[in-house]
Amino acid sequence: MTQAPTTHAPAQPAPTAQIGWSVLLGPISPRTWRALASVLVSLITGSFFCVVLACALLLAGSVSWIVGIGMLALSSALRLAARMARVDRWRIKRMNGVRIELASPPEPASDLSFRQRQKAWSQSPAVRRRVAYQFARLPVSAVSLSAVGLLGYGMVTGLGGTGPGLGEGFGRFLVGLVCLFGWPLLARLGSAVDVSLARALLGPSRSGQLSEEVQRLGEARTLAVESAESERRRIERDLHDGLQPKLVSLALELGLAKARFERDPASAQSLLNQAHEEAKTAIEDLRGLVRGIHPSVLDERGLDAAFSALVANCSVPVRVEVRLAQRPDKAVEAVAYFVVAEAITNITKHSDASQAAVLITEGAGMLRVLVEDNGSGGAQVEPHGGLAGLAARVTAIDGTFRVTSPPGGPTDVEAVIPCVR
Amino acid sequence: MRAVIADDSVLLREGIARLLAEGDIEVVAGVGDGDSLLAAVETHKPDLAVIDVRMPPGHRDEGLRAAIEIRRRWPDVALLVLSQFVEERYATELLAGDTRAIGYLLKDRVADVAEFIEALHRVAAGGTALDPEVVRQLLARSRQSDPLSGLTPREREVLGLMAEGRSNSAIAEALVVSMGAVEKRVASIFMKLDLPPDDEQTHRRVMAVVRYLNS
Repeated sequence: MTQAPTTHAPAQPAPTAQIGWSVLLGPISPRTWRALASVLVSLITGSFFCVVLACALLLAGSVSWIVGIGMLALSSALRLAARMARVDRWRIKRMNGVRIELASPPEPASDLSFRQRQKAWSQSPAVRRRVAYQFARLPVSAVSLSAVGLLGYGMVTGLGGTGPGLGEGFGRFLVGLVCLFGWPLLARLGSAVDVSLARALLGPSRSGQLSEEVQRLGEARTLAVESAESERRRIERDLHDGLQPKLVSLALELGLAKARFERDPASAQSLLNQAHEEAKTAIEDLRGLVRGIHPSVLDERGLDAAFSALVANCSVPVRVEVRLAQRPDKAVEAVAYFVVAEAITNITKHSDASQAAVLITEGAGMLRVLVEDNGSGGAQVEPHGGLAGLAARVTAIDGTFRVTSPPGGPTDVEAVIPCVR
Repeated sequence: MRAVIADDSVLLREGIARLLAEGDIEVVAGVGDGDSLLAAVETHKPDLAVIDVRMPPGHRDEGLRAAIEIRRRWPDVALLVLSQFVEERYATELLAGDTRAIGYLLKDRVADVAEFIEALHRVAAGGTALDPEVVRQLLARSRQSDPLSGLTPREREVLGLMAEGRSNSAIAEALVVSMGAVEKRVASIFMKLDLPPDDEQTHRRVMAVVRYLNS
């Protein structure tokens, strides 16, 4: 029986208990200290930027009579802000464990003058948002660090029993205790606000994401149309070059046999025998061709069943393993089948392999198709080739396709296709 | 009579060779692509070349282009072009220069041995053999401009058979009518289409028909 994927492990503690532990362990948790370090670095780099900017403005103001110096100073400050986005990305990745995809400024058209390019660059939303981040993060890190410092002071004086201003006895101890467990929360909160600011201002904007998505979809659609078209051409070629000549030749032989039937029965007989053989191979060819277009057993019984015939026709022994809890979407199944079919054909034709394996697995909503052989390698995705056709088909349904085939082998063909679309 | 066969399917090449042997035509060379066809024609100077339209390397219309080239360089070689599909456009291109000793037939026609051999001999003798399918396309296309609207259905039928390259007697046989009846219809077609009657040579009739239909 199929088993539904489990999302909640039974051993996990209840949420409230989890929060309690996290608060108790806060002061010694590496996460807290990393968050604190991150906010601190953020404050330092942010201040550094502000100082540089202030100097640049001052310079621009004082020597504005030198044409261009002010402009130069400002644009350098802008460049610095843009550069600093990389530093912040690195910091957030190392200290907060969050990956941010930087939104890059658009590539300026090369036919513009230097000044025009400069202007387009500095006015692009990506650059402006990077500068905005430099300003926005400063108060966040300053406020959160001050608050952490205040609580730190409360903790030390409350628990250490020295210093003025916190009352006496148990009350003082209680305040110290609250500060002890409070500062890690504040440090993490400040860092979280900083990270979400960075994500909002350094990462791709909504419209940027959408336009990228539109472009990707457009490309995928073109690929889908192209792959359907090349598939039709392949079928036409197979019919025209494979089957049609056989049938014509068959008709020709029967025609000749008919013409000779009266005057030369013996040669008519041998023509008939030949025609009979040809009729049989034509049927066999037609079967292979139909199967190549779409094997009906794939619809009826799924991938594992459909692979049997493929593997049987392969000159190399192939180990087949299909680990699927349930059957994927028909379109996904068909693409997976053709990836394997093409790979097996290539193994038979070109690889000199002595063994091969087909592995179908699923996980995280993706179907993974892997075909490997121990042959001579050197397979390449060439335009209009079989592998390029596969790549187009896989990409068209949002999958990824990869061929690893160094000279000397081995060859891996892998497709990862989303099961749910 | 000596012939060269060009077809990329070895099976069909052999079949056609056997068919030619049946019609007492000697096959001097069998080739699989356009370039070797030109080379073979140059070497053997055959009376007839039987050519498949689609051949390597491009698998498009290499045979057709080779045929046009042969006609340009060796005008005495009779050409029979075979194809899995017949296209009116290909026929027009093939017949554009000269309609003498040219045939264009569906490959399927090889199954009717006697008729195919008859067409071979007709082409080799300087006549024309156009597939009925091509003629059908030609007639269908010209219907819009409708120079043929004045023809009776029977005259249309005769024109079609004429365009295939058949003689008056062959048309009479095909339609099971007397020779005189066919001659009368042919004369009437020429008159209605405003063509000067000229029934000495069949290919000139075809040329007239094709040119007229494509004007």
